[in-house]
Amino acid sequence: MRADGLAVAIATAIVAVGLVLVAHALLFHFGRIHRRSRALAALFAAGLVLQLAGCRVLDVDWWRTLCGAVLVFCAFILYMPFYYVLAASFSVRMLLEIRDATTLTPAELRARYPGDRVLGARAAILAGAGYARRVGEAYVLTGKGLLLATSFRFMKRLWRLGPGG
Amino acid sequence: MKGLLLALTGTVLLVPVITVVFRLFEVRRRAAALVRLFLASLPVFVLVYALTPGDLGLLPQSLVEPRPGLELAYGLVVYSALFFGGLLQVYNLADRGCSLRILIDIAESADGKLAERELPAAYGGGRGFGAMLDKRIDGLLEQGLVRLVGGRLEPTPRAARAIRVYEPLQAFLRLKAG
Repeated sequence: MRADGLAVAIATAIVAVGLVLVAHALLFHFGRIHRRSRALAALFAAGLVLQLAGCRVLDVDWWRTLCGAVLVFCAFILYMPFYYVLAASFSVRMLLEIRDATTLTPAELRARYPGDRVLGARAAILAGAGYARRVGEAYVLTGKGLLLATSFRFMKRLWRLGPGG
Repeated sequence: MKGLLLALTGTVLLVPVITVVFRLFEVRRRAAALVRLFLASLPVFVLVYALTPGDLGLLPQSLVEPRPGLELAYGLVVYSALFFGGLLQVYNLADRGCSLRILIDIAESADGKLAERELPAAYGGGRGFGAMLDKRIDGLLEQGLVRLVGGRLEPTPRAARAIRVYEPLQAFLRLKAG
């Protein structure tokens, strides 16, 4: 077992995360990715494997290898929200529209987001991800969707967050 | 290992603290309150690290880190990541998640299903989709990213700086928000 095990584990994690981000940039820029969130999660999983392999090759003990793996996981949970802000945030999109339009009233901005179209598209994504399914004209929750909705309803009540959304 | 254990324990302990604060007080800017709670906990983390033995009284000697400074830094990084990427994101999702809100609206509907045309009116527990858009616009105004000039929305210099970061990244990664 090497004495600098933690430092080596941290270094392998930093290298692995760096490679994941480079691969993400190249893949999304040059490739045609349909399920982008899944692709990003797969890249981080590959980064984790790389980090574990690096630690094994460099003779780091298992506990400190785990410490490095936790860092890769931390990078994942920090990067995904940032990615979703870029990819799906209403606020960012609104900001860009306000900038481009130069003269836009709040009512005109609202009119650019017809509820049926926006929510219909989101519901279709939820169905594609297995959280809901379409039955005729309506959407119903799958087991996975119901579990998620129930968990967050409990949390919203516990923290008194109101309806939200 | 001590740094990792303290980071995990600290994160777990933050949950009841947040719960108590949210239940006892009327918190208006909740995300900012969460960040303040986290920042207040950082000196406690350092103090606990400094005052406890390297083996925490239970770890084998092989798991005691010979470089405590590095381990403390590691623990702080993990603790911060678990807060900003974990607790704060769970809160954001619960309070602002549009897709999650759709799931909850379907779950709360009378017969557990909602037609696509019913989604806008049912949104946000019946507040309607317009309330969500108002919340986003109010948020942009409150954060100083846009201002109202003669009834029209105008981006502030702060927004221009944010856009300078987001727009090239969106373009490079070929993403379109919304």
